[in-house]
Amino acid sequence: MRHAFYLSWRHLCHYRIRSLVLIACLSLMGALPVALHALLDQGERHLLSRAKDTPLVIGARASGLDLTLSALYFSNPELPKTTMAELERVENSGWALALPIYSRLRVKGQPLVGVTLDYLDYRQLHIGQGRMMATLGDAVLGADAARSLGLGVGDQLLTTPGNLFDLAGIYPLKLNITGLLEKQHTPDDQAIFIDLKTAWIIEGLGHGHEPPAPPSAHGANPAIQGSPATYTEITPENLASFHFHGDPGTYPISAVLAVPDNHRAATLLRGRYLDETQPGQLVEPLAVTRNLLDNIFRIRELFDVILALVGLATLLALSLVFWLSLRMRRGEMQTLFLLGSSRLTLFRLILAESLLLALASLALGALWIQLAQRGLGESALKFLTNG
Amino acid sequence: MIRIEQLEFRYPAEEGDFTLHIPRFGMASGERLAITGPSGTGKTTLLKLIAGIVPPVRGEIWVDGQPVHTMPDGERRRFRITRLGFVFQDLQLLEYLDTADNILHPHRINPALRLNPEIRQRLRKLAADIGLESKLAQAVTALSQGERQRVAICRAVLTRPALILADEPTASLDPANKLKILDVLFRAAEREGASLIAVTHDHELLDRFDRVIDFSTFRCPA
Amino acid sequence: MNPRLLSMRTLTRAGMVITALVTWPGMTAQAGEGHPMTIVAANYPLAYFAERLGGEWVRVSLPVPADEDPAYWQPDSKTIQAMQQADLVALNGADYEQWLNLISLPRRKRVDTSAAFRSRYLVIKEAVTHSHGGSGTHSHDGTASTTWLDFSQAIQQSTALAAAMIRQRPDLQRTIEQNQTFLTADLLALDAAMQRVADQLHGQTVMASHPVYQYLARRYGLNLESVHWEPQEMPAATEWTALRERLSRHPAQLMVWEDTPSNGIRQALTGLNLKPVDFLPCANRPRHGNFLSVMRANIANLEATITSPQNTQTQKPRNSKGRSQ
Repeated sequence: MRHAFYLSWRHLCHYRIRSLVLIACLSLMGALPVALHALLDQGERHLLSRAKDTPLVIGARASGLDLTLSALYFSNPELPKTTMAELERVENSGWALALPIYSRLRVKGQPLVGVTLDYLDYRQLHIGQGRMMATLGDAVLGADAARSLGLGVGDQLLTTPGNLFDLAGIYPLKLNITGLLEKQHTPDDQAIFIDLKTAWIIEGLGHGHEPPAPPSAHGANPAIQGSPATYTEITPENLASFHFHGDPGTYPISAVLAVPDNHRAATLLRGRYLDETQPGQLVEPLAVTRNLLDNIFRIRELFDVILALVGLATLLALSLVFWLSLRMRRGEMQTLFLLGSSRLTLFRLILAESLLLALASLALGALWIQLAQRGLGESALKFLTNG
Repeated sequence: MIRIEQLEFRYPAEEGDFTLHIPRFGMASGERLAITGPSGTGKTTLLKLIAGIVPPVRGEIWVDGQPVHTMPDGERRRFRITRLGFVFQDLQLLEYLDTADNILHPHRINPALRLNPEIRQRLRKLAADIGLESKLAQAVTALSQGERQRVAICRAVLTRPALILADEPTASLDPANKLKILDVLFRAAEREGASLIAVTHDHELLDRFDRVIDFSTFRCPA
Repeated sequence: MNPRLLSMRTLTRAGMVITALVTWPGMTAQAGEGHPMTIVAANYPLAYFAERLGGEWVRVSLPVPADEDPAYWQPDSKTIQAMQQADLVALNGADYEQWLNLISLPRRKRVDTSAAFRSRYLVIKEAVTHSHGGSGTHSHDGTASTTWLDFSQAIQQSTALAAAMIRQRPDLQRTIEQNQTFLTADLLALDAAMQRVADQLHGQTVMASHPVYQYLARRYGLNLESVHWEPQEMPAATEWTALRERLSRHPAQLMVWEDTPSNGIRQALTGLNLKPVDFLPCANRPRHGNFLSVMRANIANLEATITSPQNTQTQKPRNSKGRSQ
C-alpha cells in the first residue's frame, strides 16, 4: 500500500488544481453542516451564559424577548423606555444590585450604551488601553466597536442625530474616547459605553452654559453660543456648567438589570411585578432565552433536512466527477495493466487516492470549522440576537 | 526461446474482423529478430500474443520453455512481468512521474518485483549506460522524444527480462537518433542476455538484426 | 429644657455606653479580611465619621485641598480615578456635591448619607451670588447642605455611612457597629449640649456671617438672620448700613462666624453691640483638633458669649423647641 500511496500522492500533486478543487468541495460539504451546528451550539452557549449572568431584567411593559435582547444585547433601540424611578424602586428594596441600561442610541451601527460604572464592574469589563470614563462626554469602547470604528484612546466620536428616535432639535455630542475594553467575546465587545448622564445629555435632558468664546472651526456648543453650530462638546472648561433639569426619577432608561442577593430576594422582587396593570414588567432572561432557543431548534431541524439534500446532490456531483476522472485516466490504467498491474493493484491505487483526498478534505474541513467558530461565532450570535 | 505452433487469433467483428494465423514460428535464445510489414498485418498483435496480453483462439505459444497459451491469468501476468520486457509503440510513460519513477514503476505496482536498494543501484547504472543519468529527476514531459524512448527501454530492461518485445522503438525519431536508440536497445539486450523482437518500419535498420521476417508471409486473410 | 426629654436622652446615652463597655473586648478580637477599606469622603465631617467608624481598618481620604471649601470644589481626573477605585465614596447629599452629576462613579460604591432625611431638606431662596476673595463667585441658592450642624442629622449620616461600610465589608461589621456606638454617643452629647446652650438664648435673634447655619437653626430653635460676609474681608459701608437696618428690625447681640473675623470687623461689630462668636462648620479638615473638639469649642464659644455679663439682658423668653426656616 506504501507504493500505492506514493503514486497517488504524485498523481494528486501533478494535477494539483483538480485535486485542490476536489478537496475544497469535499471539505466544504463535510464542514458546512458541522460548522453550522457548531455555530448554533456556540451561539446557544453564549446566549445561555449571558442569560445566566443576568438573572432578572426590569423594564417597560413590552415583549419580554425584546426587553431581554435590548438589555442583554443592546439590539432593540425602539423598546418603550422606563425611568430611573424603577431603578430606585429596586435599589431601595435592598434585595438586588440594580444596574441601569440605556441602549436607545446607535453610532455608525454600534450600540451606544449608557450605564453606570457598576455595569462594567458587574460584567468584569476591564480597561485594556487608556482609562475608565471619568466625566460627562467620556466613552470607553468595546474591543470590536473600537476595531470596527477604527478608533483609539484620545480619538473623538460624534453621536449621530439620525439615529436618535425622539430628538427635538438636539445636537450630536462629541464623545472623548478615554479607554478601550479588553475583549470579552460577549455583546459588550460591540458597545460604546458612556455614562448614563452623558446619554441623557445626548437626549437633551442636560446641558451646559459657558462664557462666550471665539467661534471655533466647527462651532461647538451651539446651544450656548447660538451660532449655526453642528455639535455639542464637553470640555474641561465647560464641564462644570453642565446640569440637568427636572426630576431625576423621570429620566429615561431602557431597562434595569437586577441581580438579587439570594433566592428569597429574587422571589420577593418577582412578586412585585406580578400585577399586570402596572407599567413595569420583570423578565427572566434565562427563561426567555430558552424559549428563543426552542424556536431555533425547530429551525435547525429544517436546516438539517436542507443540508442533507444539498449534501446528497453534492455527493452525486462529486461521484460523477470522480467517475469521469477515472474514465479520463483509462489510458493510464491500460498502461498499468500492460506493465503488469492486477485489478487489485488498480483498486489499491484508486483507494489510496480516495483516502488521500478524504484525509486532506477532513483536515481542511476541520480548519473551516475552526475558522468558522473563531470568526463567525460572534456573527452568529449577532444574527440570533439582532434578527 | 520462442516456439509457436498453429497459432490462430481473431479480433471480434466490431474491431475489424481481423484474423491472424501463424502455422509455425521459432526463435533462438539471444537472437535479435525484426518484424516488418505493412500496417494492420498483425505485428503488434503477435507481440501481445507472445507477451500473453491477449490469448490465442487456438495453437501453442512457448516462451522461455513456458506454455503461455495455457497459463491462468495471474500466472501469465507474473510471467510477463518477470520474464519479458515491453517497449510500447506509444511508450506509455506516465507524465505525473519523473524519469526515475517511470523506470521504477513496474517495481511499484507488481508484488512480484521488489523495489530495494539494489534495484535503485541498478537503475542508476543502467541510466548512466543509456545516457539518462542527468535526467532521472526530471519530469518525462520535459524530455526529448529520443530521451523518452530511452526511458521506455530502460523501464523494459530493468527487470532483467529473458525476452524484450519492442513495438516500433525508433518511431518518430530522426535517422541519426534511430540508430542511436537501436544501439541502446541492442546493448541493453546484450547486457541482460535477452532475446529481442522489434517491430519496425525502418528498412534501413533491418540489416542490423540477426533475422528479419516480412510479416505478410504469416497473414492469412479471413 | 423639657425635663422629660433630658431624662430620655440621658438614659439612651447611658445605655449606649453600657453596650459599648460590654462589647469592648470583642473589638480587638475581630480582624478585617485583607486590605483596609478605602473611603473617599466629600467633606471633613464624613471623613471624621468614617475614621471613627472604621478605625484602623479603613483608609479615609478627603481629596479637597486644605484651603478650599468642599462645597465648591471640583475633583480633577486623578481624584475621580481614586474615587472610582475606592471601596466607598461618602457623599453628604442635599446637593452638596455639585460635581456628582459631572463624573462617572459606580452607584454601588456611593453612599448618600443624608438620603434618610431627604424630605426635610431646607431650600434656600432669594440667595445672591457673591465672591470670596479671588476664588470666584458662588451662590447659596438651592438646597441648604450644611446638614451635619444638626447633630441629630449627623447621627443619621454616620448611621448611613456605617451601614454602607458594613455592606461593602461585612467582615468589619462588629468593629463598625461598636465604633458607631461610641460615635453616636459623642454626637448625642453634642446635640444635648447645643440644645442646652440654644435654650439659653430664649429666642433672641442671632446674626450669621454666612447662610450655612440653616439646619443648626432649625434643630436648636435659633432665630437666625444671615448676611454674606467673609471673616477677612471688611464689608462695604452699604453692607454695614444694611446690617444696622436689619438689627433695628431684629435686635441681636450675637453674630456667629464661619471663622474668626478680622480685628477691624470685630471692632466695628462691638460698635453695634454685636459680639462675634466663632462657630466653625468644619467642612474641611481643621488645623487643630477634630470634628468633635471643634464642635465642642463652637458650643463652648456660644455658651461663653451668652453667659458673659454684657449679655444678661436677654430678650423675652420664647419656645425653646421652635424651628426656624
